[in-house]
Amino acid sequence: MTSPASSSEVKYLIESSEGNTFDVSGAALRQSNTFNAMFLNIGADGPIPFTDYNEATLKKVFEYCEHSVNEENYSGPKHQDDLSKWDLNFFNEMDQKMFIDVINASNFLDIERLTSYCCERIARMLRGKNTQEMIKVITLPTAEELEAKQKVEEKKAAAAKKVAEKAAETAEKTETLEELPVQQLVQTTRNKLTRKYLSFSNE
Amino acid sequence: MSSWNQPLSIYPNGLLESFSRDAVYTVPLLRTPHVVIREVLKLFHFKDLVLFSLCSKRTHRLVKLHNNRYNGNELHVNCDTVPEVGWCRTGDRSAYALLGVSNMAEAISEKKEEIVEIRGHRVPIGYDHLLKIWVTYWDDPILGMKTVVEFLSDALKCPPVRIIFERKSMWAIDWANSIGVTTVFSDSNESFSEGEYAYILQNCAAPTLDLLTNPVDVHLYRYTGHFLERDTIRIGNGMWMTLDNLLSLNCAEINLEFTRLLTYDDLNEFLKQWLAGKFPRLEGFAIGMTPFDYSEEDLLKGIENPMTKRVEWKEWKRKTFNFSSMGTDIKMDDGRTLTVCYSFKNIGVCMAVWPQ
Repeated sequence: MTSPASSSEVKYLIESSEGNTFDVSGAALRQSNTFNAMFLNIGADGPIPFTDYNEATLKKVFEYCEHSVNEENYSGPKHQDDLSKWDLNFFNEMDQKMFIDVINASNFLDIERLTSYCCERIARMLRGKNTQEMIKVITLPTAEELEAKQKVEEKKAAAAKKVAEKAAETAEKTETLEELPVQQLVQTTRNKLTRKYLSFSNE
Repeated sequence: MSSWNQPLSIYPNGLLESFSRDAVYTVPLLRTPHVVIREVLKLFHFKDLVLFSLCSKRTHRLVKLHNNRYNGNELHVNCDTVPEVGWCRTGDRSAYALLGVSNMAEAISEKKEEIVEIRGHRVPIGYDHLLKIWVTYWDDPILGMKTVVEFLSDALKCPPVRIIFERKSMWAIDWANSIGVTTVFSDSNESFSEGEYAYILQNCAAPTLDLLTNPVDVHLYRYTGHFLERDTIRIGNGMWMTLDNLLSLNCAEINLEFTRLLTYDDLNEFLKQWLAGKFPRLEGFAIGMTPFDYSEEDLLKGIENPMTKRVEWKEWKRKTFNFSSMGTDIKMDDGRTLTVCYSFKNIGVCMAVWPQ
């Protein structure tokens, strides 16, 4: 149910990764530069597939777009302190995974305002922090963790090397046995049999 | 609502509660699209960028990628009493301190410092609440300063352009020469020894030498060595300057203050040689003389070049000193015009060549 109309009354169907579809107003969807570039002028038959993102994420993104339809023209990223109560609730309602999904979706859909707010929020989380705090915020492994990881990897590598060496040694032995001349093999077998016979006769 | 992103609560008046410093809210930034990382880095102050680049090798690479070309910023290196590296926009005199460098012995032991890796050196870093800067602690602070400058210059694409030094950091002269710093400055209260002062004059190759620190016993000090060719020299206390010294300077701009040995006869001799073309590079000259008693008659005595009283105000492009409307334009032997005037701002005689 789509048409390349410019009226905000027009609804577009969006398809999520689960295959579910839902309505989004044209005005909200036009905040996405990706949509503008791909569908606005040519229209789309059937639902618009944004199948890299789940329904919850897409609904969250377009919830923001619907809300900001009536706001004044966008004039660059706002400072976190300038965000409205609605904006804050919008961000606070999200868990970490959803936030990342929203950033990714917003980036793909090229919704400048939402991307900027998300970036401002991340920057705000990091500003004025020391390196340890920054490492925690961006969930980087610490130097100790990296060191421990490296040690484990070194141990693993050493163990693997040992196994490989043993395997190579065994293979070498087998190869040596295989490479023995036939006469020598016959002689070795004969000796073994003789020893067995002697021990048997002694008993 | 989850706890990861609840840094804010709203007061009834709609204002936000400020962030609590201890609170930790996580977001795996490095797993977000590059556009997002770039936007976040754009929103950082240089101080945050520095700390971010110290988090890991990857964050360092990201900061380098973000600042992948010269962006009109520069580093000011302070090897004075508070060794630190500051950042400033080209042409802007106010620098913002980015990282301090201190001796390991001065590390505050009771406070647990973090360890960061700077160009292969693992060193403690701590916030100095007095200086309000992050300070790195080094067994060898000289190596520390050099490493921190290399690190910041590389990460932020800011060349080190200005070094402030004092007696204890004479090593900075050779270092400034080796890294091509444009301005070397000293205004320390502690006077240089005669040998140190001579070493600076003879060896500092920076295009601008701004030497406000005195040699010890400045009244008795004399310098007989050569002067390096440079763009600008400023001597804050020129009591030791003689006519020989003045005639052997090879600069585009000379600014001498509180000279005592130079008389108007000396200046007259200097001016005659300048008009005759002995100093082809020299564009501007300012001198403050003690005792000061401006006498244009003495200054221009015996000069036969055509001269006219100037009434128009002229602006000298370097803006080091202003020209008053009262002055004299003298035709130089090479066809250019040399203006001589008294500058109220500099409380001394100013001379400049037009066109520059």
